[in-house]
Amino acid sequence: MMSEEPIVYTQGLQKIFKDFWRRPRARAVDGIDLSLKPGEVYGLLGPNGSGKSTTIKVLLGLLHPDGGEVRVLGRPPRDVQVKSRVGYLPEESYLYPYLDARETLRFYAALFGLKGELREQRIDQLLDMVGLAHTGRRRVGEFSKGMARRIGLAQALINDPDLVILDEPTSGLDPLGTRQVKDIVSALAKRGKTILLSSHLLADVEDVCDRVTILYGGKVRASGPIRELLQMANNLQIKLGDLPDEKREELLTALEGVLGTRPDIEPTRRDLETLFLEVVAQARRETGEGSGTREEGELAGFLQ
Amino acid sequence: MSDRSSFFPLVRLTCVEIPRQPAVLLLTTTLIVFIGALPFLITHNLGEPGKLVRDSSLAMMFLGSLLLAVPSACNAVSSEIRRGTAGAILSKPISRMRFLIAKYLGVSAIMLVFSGMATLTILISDRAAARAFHPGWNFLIPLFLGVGLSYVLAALINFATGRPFASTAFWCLAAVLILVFLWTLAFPGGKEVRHEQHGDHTHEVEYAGQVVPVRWEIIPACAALTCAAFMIQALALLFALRLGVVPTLSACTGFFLLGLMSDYLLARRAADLIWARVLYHVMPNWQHFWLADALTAGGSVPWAYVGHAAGYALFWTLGILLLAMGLFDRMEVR
Repeated sequence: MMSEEPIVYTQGLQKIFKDFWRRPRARAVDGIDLSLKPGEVYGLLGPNGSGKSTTIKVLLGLLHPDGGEVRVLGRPPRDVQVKSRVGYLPEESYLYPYLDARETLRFYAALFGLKGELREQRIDQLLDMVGLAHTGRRRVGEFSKGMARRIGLAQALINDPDLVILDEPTSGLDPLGTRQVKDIVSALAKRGKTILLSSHLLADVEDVCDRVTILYGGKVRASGPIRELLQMANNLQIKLGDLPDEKREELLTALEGVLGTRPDIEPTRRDLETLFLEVVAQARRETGEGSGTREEGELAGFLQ
Repeated sequence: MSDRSSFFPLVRLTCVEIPRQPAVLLLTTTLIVFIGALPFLITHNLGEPGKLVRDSSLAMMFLGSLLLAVPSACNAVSSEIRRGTAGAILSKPISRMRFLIAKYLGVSAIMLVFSGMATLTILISDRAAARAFHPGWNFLIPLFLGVGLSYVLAALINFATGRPFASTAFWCLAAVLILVFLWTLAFPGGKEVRHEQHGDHTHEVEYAGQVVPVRWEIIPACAALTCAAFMIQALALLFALRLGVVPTLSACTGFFLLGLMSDYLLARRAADLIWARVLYHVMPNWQHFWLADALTAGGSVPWAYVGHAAGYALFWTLGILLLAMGLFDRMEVR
């Protein structure tokens, strides 16, 4: 049975950056309240410098709050027991440049005490999942930004965490990688994982998040379920299937009679992401794999 | 989950990462080549063949430890904090205290290997300098060939397997130096050149050389310097928490010089002035670890003395590490 205690809880969280002489320099976070329920995907939105990454670093115990209360999985964020249940993908993929992809994952797995066959199985599955199984002894320092993000995502999931914190997870990824990350996030949420996702890419957040908080200048400017926030009460949309021309004209005339003005009508459009994914999938079928990452596999077995 | 399981991977990673810095390989090679070159670079003997070579070698080892400690500590701590890898690791189940100790132990392990290499080179170089003005090429040629061979081996391994060149060369150098030392033990022969008078002319005549014994007493002297190196390492780690390479090097050099002169600067005033007494006891006194004079005077250094010096180093290192832990615990890792 799932606990009703919030997975992440902050009340009046404050963080002030100080200079060398301990004088306040910037108020990065100013009274943020968050409460993440188990199994939900929560988005932190905001422009650069709005306090998203600072909030995340406080939640990870890397920065010390200057005010307010913070609890992660019911404990203080610096508790080692808490950290063993958290997966974190940093904003930049901070990796040891001289290690290859497998060595990198082996190192992070060892930090969680994973050993032997279990560790190797997880590494194989994660490398398949993020499409880096073929990179061999290539050092991660030579990886493209997108490849580094993928290995960063893999390390964040190596411990099968209860709480996954993803800071700008789609930054540097191509649309295929972006789609894959969103699919992974959705799949993890279905398995009951709680996900805190920070991004300034609105479409990514809209696709996967249940609730969002929008930050600006370190303060919460809007917060709530994404459907409620996006709903425009005074605008309605009617969705219709394929209509012959005469039926369409008939419908418009009828609507004009009711509304007093002739409403706009236009065909439904696919979004650019859908079109791009269709074109690339077609090209892959025709020409095979390119260099760099390969087509990603299923969600890693141990995460399913 | 305890963070104990995450401790050793971090120590191991530090041991893997440090030798991958080209600066570490460059410094180690320079030290070995320079110590190896001393027997034919130094052309005085000041009454005892080998004394100058031995003293200079030990001094270079001491200085080399300082120069190695700084980039290693900076790579292990300040670079990791700046690069963000420290933050990524500290988001995993490892406490800050264990992180710092793991870093110290990892860097110290490399320092131990470095000291081991320097010790072997000093032992070889000392034998090569046993006869004034006639360097023992039978010791030096295998040494220099060994250095070259390590680089060739590393290049081949890099070509065949893609392993990083710098760290491979570092480990090859360590292994080859052991082999070279064993070689010089097994085949210590050489030719001895004597000047003989034949009528009005002096001729150089070659005879089968006398076996030059290994001066094993050098090992305790090097062990004492290694203890000092661990102290410098702790100091470098403390400064590297806040400073970059150049300021850390400057601060450590300051401590190094003050510690060398503390007997002269502070001990004389310690009886009368409280601040001098306090400072004299707080400052690291490197003279405890400098045993070259003892080697010259008595010919041997008791291991019990090295044990006392190690105790002093341990006490001082623990103090510095506690200070570093206190600083790091409240430090913000961005």
